[in-house]
Amino acid sequence: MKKNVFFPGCNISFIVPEIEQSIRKTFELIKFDIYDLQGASCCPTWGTVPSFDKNTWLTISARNISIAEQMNSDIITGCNSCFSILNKTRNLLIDNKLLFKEINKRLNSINKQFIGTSEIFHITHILSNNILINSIKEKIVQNLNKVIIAVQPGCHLLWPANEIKIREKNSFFPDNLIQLCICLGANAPHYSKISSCCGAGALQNIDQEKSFIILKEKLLSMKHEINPHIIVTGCSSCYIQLQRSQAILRKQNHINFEIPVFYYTQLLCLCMGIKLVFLNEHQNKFVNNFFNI
Amino acid sequence: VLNITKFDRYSILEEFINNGSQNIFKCIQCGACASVCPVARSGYKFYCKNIIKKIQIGDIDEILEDISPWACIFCYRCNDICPKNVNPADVIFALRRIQANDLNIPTSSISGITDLYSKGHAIYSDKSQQIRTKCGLNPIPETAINDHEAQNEIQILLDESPIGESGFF
Repeated sequence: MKKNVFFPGCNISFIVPEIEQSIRKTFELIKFDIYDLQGASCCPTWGTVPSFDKNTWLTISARNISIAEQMNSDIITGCNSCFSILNKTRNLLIDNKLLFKEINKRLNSINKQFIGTSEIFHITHILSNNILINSIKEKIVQNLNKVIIAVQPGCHLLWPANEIKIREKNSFFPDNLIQLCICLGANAPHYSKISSCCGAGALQNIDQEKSFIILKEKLLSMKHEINPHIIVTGCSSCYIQLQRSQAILRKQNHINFEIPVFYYTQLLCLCMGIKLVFLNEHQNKFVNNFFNI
Repeated sequence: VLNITKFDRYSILEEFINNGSQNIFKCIQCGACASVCPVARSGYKFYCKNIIKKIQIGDIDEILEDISPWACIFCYRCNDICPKNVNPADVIFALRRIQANDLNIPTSSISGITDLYSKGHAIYSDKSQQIRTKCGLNPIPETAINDHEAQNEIQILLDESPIGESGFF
């Protein structure tokens, strides 16, 4: 039977390991086996190798996938960028025989081979599975029925829609993460900027002020339309951006509120009664107000 | 005056068509791509729609020198929404690679590939070991950061690539 490996990516491994902690605890609790992808490198993310040379990008991505293939495993990522890079690589190589041959020629120099047997999934795809959702529901000890959540699915889980195996019916009205929050008992209404970009990554690196324009639009849309207690995302980049840049926007008086941000599995762990050690001030305040544990 | 080392104007156009989009001249400037583009929404000077027009009319000096193409996050909204299958995101990719070839690159991207070369990861923080330990995780993950053979493989692949020839490593 096919196994599953966890591809943590750079941001989760080194910038926000609290996400990795919650992902590992979640899988442990729902008894879903995941293995490590020994020797995995950066995916490599869009602003690096893919922006310099297409075939070098595909070779480095295919190397990561080939390690999973040797383990007869599918890949599960917790980062939307890693998901999109690896998934795009797999689709390009499977669709184009010339590329497939050229990339394997390059991989041959390090004794690796891309076959195309490992599929790429994001953790929210895995958790959306009916059997797992039921297993999650059984383990919930804290119902969030008084909580309003603004969900942030993140761009790379929504587009290019026809290349994503577990896709939304309409990427402009995403529903998967909403359903995952509803299964915790919470209310997670639609808001008009739900599918818009949070301004992370390249947008932020090149000109922070400009990236703040769309971040502020998004936060105001959440606040004015649904007034959420928390924001929940399944993307590590969105998590970093919504948390850190929201604090800057408040400090600069662009907004007068700060909504706590959770990665989905952090909230899930808390609802399953797991204590998380690395919560920030805003997350802790929410937990103290809404959790009896 | 632009100093284009490897490309002349004709080969730049060829590069846009071959490595970007075969359909670049089918663009009718309908604006669907710009209507969903985070780069356009954030107020950057150049984004999918006007970059494609500039290429179509051969007025490329300004876009080759501008940093806007490096703000694209490759969300692929534009490719999905384009009614003419122009694949604007692939045009932006081609443009970036032409700029990279002329060393017109933001510092974050240079540090990303040099860190990938030396550590196997484009993003790394020295503080991570401390936070990982507090979270009950291995202080150093079982990825390329902790695997010299993996780092060596990445270095071979990068050394053998056109990026290796650019002298970044």
